[in-house]
Amino acid sequence: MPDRPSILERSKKILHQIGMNQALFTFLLFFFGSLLFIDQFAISTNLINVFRQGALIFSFSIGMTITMLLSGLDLSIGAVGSLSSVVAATLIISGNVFLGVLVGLIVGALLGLLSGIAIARFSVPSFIMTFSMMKIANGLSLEFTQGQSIYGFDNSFRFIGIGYVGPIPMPLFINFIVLLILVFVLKYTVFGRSVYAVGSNKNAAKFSGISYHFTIMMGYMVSGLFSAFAGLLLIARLGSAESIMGEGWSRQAIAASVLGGVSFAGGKGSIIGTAFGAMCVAILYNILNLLGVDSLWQEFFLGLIILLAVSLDCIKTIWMKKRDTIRQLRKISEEVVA
Amino acid sequence: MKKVLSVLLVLVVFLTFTVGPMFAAGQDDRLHVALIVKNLTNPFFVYMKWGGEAAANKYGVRYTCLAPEVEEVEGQIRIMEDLIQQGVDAIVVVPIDSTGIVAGIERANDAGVPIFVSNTRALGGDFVAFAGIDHKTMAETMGKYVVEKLGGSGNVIELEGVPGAQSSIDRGIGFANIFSKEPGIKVLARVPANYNKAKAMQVTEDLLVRFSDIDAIVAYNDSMALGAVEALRGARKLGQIIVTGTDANKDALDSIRAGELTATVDSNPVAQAFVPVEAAIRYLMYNEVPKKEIIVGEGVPKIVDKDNVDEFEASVVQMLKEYGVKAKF
Repeated sequence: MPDRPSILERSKKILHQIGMNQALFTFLLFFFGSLLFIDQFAISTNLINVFRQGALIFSFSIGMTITMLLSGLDLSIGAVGSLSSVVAATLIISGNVFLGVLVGLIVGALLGLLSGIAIARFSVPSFIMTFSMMKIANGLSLEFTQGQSIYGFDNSFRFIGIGYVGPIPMPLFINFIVLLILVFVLKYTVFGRSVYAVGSNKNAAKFSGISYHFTIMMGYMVSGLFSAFAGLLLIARLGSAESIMGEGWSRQAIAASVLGGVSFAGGKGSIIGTAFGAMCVAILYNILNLLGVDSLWQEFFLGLIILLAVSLDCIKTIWMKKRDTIRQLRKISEEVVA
Repeated sequence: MKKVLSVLLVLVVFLTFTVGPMFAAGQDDRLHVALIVKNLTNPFFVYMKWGGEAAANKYGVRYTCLAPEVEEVEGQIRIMEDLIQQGVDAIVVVPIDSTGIVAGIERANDAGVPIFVSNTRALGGDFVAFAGIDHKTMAETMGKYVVEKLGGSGNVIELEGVPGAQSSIDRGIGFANIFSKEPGIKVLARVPANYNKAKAMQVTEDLLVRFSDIDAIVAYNDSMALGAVEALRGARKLGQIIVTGTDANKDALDSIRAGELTATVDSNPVAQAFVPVEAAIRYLMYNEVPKKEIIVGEGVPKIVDKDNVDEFEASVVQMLKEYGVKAKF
């Protein structure tokens, strides 16, 4: 009689398939831990704050996740996001909201594409290329703004940052839709599958007919596009655009991706995982503020928790390998005995 | 491909050496005074750059304004060394770190280049004069204003700058000097928001959940104050809590006019650069040795709130015009 897998096992399998095992676990740990131990955490205003914050962190972590899946990384997300938003902001305050948003996204995508071309065609290491792109974009946006902030957006634009759909804050709503689209794209489109293929084994992907260069270029372009998208959300929320507002994005994005189970080795991880990872980062900052932990220690704890989460994953992998070996050995010995 | 790239590289390096100097001021034998600020990303230092330029134009001397690429005092020292190497005649510096800069000042002392300090104090080395309004005084002035606005009692939250930054430390000391003397003032929390608007907004949101009885939010710069304003807007508490900034940037003035930000404090960045640069030029040209402490403007920082914001802005525009600074405000 064949065993019917239990509901638990089946759901485990489904979770594993969409690649959010570890991320979901970490998120639940964070969420319920905070609910239990911190009184003010469950207040609805606070929960809304946390989820909105998490949505914003997610929006700029998208690019990092995709480039990490391609076994690279994108250090320029903050600078590209800032540059595209200051450009967009100038158009928006002159009354062209739609044009501003469009041009902002195009600028972001183009800068990403440039990095992508250099990385794919000229084999420039992604660290070097995106680091240079960060400097270039930072310099340009400083020159563009002369250090001044650009402000005076009308409410139709600010709505995407501070508005609500029912009780749901707009940034959360928009990012949820983006998440759904990205899950679909990464899972069911040629581009999405190529990202995983190229990330997990570059050479195999090359030989199997996947357009290697194209995938990498597209990956970095998408990263630039979503950096611009994140920048637009942020300026709508803040009500002004500043040339250095994306400072610190890459650190938080790496934290969110890694907590979400995305591996630096490429090809392993998922965008849903990153969404949970981003929520974890937001919860972490929030509870440390609620507890009144000195912000110097906030960085310390963020580092420690990432390290723990990743070590846990590594230990799990080692343990599972060991278990498999033991099983195999047992099987062999049983056969020998028989 | 490789060949094309190497040719390109050679070309770029070649052009850097040949065309690059054309962008520089070229050979000129005029006196050369340099201003080193902390960064050129904060409008405050951009105003300082213009202030120094105005002084240099007045006397027709050569002027350079530089800032390290990353806000670290080592970068300022490196710039000082490069300037000394180039044969600069005097340096005005706004130290990123009061103790760290001493090494740079000593380097200049050895080379016999006179040093003037502005805005942030240097705790050693042999400099001709300090000309500026320091951060402690600014914070004290604002602290007194907040106490007065609160009628002597209330709960205060402080949004600090980048942890460890000299300006943040000095401003913190200034506020503590005032608040600790007032038994009615209770500082609920002192949280760094890194001079960053987004960070300040997030921190303020969290603090609004943590404390229900905040009477005033004191931010160590205007960006953070405006971030706090946005957080209050989201929580529908705008107007119920006093919010103050520091620096009197244009966006802060507009927010004060709209009745959102309560007040900011001006320390006149243009004059803080104009005065020491002028002093340096006069020191070189006419051997005028200034006092060790040069008073800038009225010598005290100025509070800007709803009552005087229009008048203040007009005075800034007027001053920029007088100094011949072409930039818009």
